[in-house]
Amino acid sequence: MDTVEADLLERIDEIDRYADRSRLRGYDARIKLVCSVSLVVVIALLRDLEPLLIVLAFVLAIAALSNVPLRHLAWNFALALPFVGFAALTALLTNGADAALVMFIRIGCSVLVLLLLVSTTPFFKMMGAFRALHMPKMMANLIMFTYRFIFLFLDEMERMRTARLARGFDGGRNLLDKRAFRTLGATIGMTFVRANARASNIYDALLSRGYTGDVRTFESSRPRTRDAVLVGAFACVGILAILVETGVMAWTL
Amino acid sequence: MHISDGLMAPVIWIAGMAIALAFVALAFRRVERRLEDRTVPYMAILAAGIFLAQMLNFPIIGGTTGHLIGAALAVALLGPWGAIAIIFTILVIQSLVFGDGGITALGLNTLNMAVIGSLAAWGVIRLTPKRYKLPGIAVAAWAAVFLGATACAIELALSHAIDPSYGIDGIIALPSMMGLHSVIGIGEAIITTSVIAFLAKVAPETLGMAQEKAKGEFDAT
Repeated sequence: MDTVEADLLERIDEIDRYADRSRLRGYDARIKLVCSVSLVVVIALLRDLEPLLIVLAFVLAIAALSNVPLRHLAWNFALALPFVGFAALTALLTNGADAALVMFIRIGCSVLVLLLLVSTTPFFKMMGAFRALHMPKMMANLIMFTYRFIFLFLDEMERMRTARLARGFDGGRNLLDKRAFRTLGATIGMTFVRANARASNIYDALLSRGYTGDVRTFESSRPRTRDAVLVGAFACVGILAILVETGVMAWTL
Repeated sequence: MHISDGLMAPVIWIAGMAIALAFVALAFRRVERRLEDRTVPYMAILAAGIFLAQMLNFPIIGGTTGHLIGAALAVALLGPWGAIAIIFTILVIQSLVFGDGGITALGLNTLNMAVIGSLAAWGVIRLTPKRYKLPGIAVAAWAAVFLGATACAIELALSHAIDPSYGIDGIIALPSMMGLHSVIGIGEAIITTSVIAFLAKVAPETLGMAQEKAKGEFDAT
């Protein structure tokens, strides 16, 4: 258990690591968000192999351009594999190989688009994009606070994990392992206790600096030419895939 | 139980999105109406806590593990509307910051885990007599997981029935999801109950604060 947990902690730590190095970093976050979501919606509507292959080629090209290390993408993709694999496997059993392949590529493509968006956009730019696209203020604040507090607690959890290990906790064996569950329950409980104390302190600190619930950043970005190119590329691929899917445009391999 | 994009038939995820967003809008409005000075940071602390608690895997049997969803825990601390709001927040962060769970599937994930999970837990907690509070929370946690997973299985089966290139055949989806989650639900029940018992013993003021925020929706002590 503890190795899995440690892996996940590392994964959280990694989340913004490649965002600042990526070639897609400088693109407007709002545009990236809208393009990615639209493409995912288009992908979700595709049922044939040919249009999916077009989108797959495009997504792989973007992935290659993005400069995000392949290892990072592959590792995060692997985390989604059990679900993708299960869906494809049942499709193989009930509807044959073609259906399984379509299912696999469709889910895989969507996961990849999201991963690319996430790995090339720093969190606070993403939040800015949400606000620019009129997400309600309270919802945006809640998301922002939650995200900040997650990192605060990672430290606490790491310390508690070390303490657990030092006392000989081994993760337990099965659902009947009473001691394992008592320890996990106490760990989660303690997270809340520490959380509560910290929440007050942090909020006091924010108030004393004049926090009113609004979040402002220095950056005021304007879409540039290259953003238009990005929109154009996503739109072309999306429209092409839909045309092929609906049979308006014949596609022969 | 996090559904990814591309798995469900369009009709299903569009309908799911519409229903889920209606509930989320209602939940945020309800929470906002009672908005006090510290409501947002307090809810965010709980959301962050549950987000991290979801990362703790518990052993089931033979190497398989399950993890907490936390709907019942959130309901016990915040009431149903607050719970819907924070589980939704967690799902948005998981989807758009970590790429875990899809965007088109966000509606269905919200419906299963935030809406159905929270309302099921709330229903059970409300129906339980006060003196059986802890067992009530245990049953609520189990019901939240089991009903959420059942809803997920039904959506998969419906998707497949509408269009065979989507979803998973009900013959496979229903028994596997319901079977697995009836066991995962036991873990959720044990953890949720021990967290609440722990808080009541070690930090009753946490429950007191939640109670104040939830104002009569659920008597936590």
